[in-house]
Amino acid sequence: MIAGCTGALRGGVLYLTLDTRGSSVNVFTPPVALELERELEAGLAAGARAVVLQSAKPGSFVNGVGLLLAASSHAQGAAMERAHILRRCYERLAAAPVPTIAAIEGNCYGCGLELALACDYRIARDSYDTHFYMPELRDYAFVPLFGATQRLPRLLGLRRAMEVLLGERLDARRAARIGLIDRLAPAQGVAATLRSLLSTLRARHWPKRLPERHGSSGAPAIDALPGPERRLARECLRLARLPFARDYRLEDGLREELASFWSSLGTKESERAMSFFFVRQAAKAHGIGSAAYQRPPRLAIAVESRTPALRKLARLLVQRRLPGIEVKARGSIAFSTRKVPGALTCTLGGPRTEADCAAFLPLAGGAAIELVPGAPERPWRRGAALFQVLEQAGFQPIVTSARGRFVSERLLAAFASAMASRPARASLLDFGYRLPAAVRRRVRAGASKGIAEHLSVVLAKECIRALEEGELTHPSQADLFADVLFGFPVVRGGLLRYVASGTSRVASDAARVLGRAVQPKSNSD
Amino acid sequence: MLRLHYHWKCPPRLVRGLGEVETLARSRRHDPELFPEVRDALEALVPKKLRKRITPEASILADLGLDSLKVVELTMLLEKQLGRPVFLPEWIASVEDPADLTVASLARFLADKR
Repeated sequence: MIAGCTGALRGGVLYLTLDTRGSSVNVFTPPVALELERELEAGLAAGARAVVLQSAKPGSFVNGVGLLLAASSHAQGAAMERAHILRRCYERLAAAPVPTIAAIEGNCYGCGLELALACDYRIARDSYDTHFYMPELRDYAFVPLFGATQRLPRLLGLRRAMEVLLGERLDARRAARIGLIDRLAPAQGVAATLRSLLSTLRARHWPKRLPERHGSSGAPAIDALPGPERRLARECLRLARLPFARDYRLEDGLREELASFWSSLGTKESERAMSFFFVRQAAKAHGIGSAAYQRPPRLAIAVESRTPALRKLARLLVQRRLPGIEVKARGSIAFSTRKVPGALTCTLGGPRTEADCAAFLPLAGGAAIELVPGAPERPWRRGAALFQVLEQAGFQPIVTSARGRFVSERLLAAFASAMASRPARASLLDFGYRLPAAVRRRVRAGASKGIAEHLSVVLAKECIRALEEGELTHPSQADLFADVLFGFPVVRGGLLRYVASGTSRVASDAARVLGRAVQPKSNSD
Repeated sequence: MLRLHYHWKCPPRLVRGLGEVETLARSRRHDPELFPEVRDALEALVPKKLRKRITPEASILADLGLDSLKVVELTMLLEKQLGRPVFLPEWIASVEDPADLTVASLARFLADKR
């Protein structure tokens, strides 16, 4: 039974197609890696002159290796065996005697980006759901395992490589500008661009790409990063500098990367960070009934141009080039100031009307968007298509049952009250808060002892109030607000869990809403 | 009369209620407590053809094909069943190897958290 990779030889080109069985996104697991390797060997033996790696899953090139696998791998023996299977696949692809091309459409995350880096050439579709991101350091607190720390610096230079490794999210256009991809395909798809590239390679007798060496200057300012991220960032920088050393060999660099990975996996920080993936998805599932990634079918969205906020939203939706989504005069989803008959209507800002949903953007330029459906039922399944569109457009929607003020408004007010003009920026950064720009501007530079803990308790108290009054239906939504509004550090495992294991007056309430017994923090925390 | 006579002659266990029979069967198999609740949640989640694989020894990864997103859905189903928040990352982080993410270990984890 196919796990997730098939091969087809056509016109001398081997097409390896990724399509993870039973999943809405492509996950690069050991069975899929074994299949890819098998198909690659078979195709090369049959005389393939080039290899194309592509995905059959709309919106997903490769989303990762399977967080479940990483988060449950503590016994080194079996975990090493699995890592070896995956790494061998990457090395076989990189060592293929013919040119290899990654044809990227959709999310290209983590090991997916590393798979693309193992190819000679990369082309990517110019659509918003095609973007590149390395979550390993920033979201999961471990070192990448499949060559990113060695291949990215050689391709992009040290400075740009570190930006990517530290979690800069790139769309296809930016990826093309910095040299991560070789050709940008139009929004309609990669087929024509791929044909053109294959034609060029054919005319030049199928050349492999020569290794590139870029500049080693321009290391990032590690101390400007949140405190808990600095140690791993330094380690990543050390690894990323290796390719610029004399007598460097890629296999030595990959071995060092592997050793560094094993040291970083299994720490309390990475455990808590990985657990936050589930918190994020649980908040979504409690909002709309499912965490599964589902691209909405072809959808027309109408955006009224009555207010500046609505006009800005319309511009954003058009700019983001969402596949299958069109901004039109009439649509099945409407953003407006009043109910539009025949459309799921979402009002943006202003007083709530009889529309289906009120939306609120708490931070100018930020990703957070609070949705308050008019209907009382939760999860709000009817809003799933709207939610998915907003997610695809780069927002982080959170569904609440706010009455009166929006929950995010109240949280921002609580934040302002906790800060009370105290110098706090350095303290919050050291603690790990990654404040969005719109919030950071409201905080005075400087340090105040205990301010980060105080802020965490104040925010937790407000979240607990919202849960007890039914404005939030699940603690994961509270944790997600803390993440998107204030950048609460994921290595501390979520705001409520963090406060629950402390000794503040709010700890027992936090534990109660989490439905758990309180475990006191150990010194190592 | 025949029926009454038959009743007196039958072994006692055959006249027990269904709940008691289920308890007896469970204790015989040593299924962990909360296995029925976990099984019900998994049955709602996995494809029909995999439902017969839902045994205490089954691995949620290898045998039932769950990924991280399906684990989130499983969490919601369990929360509904049990009427309390459930945080499965604690269970995931507690095992040595993905093969240890079995249905039985999940049931034990949930029972311990009560």
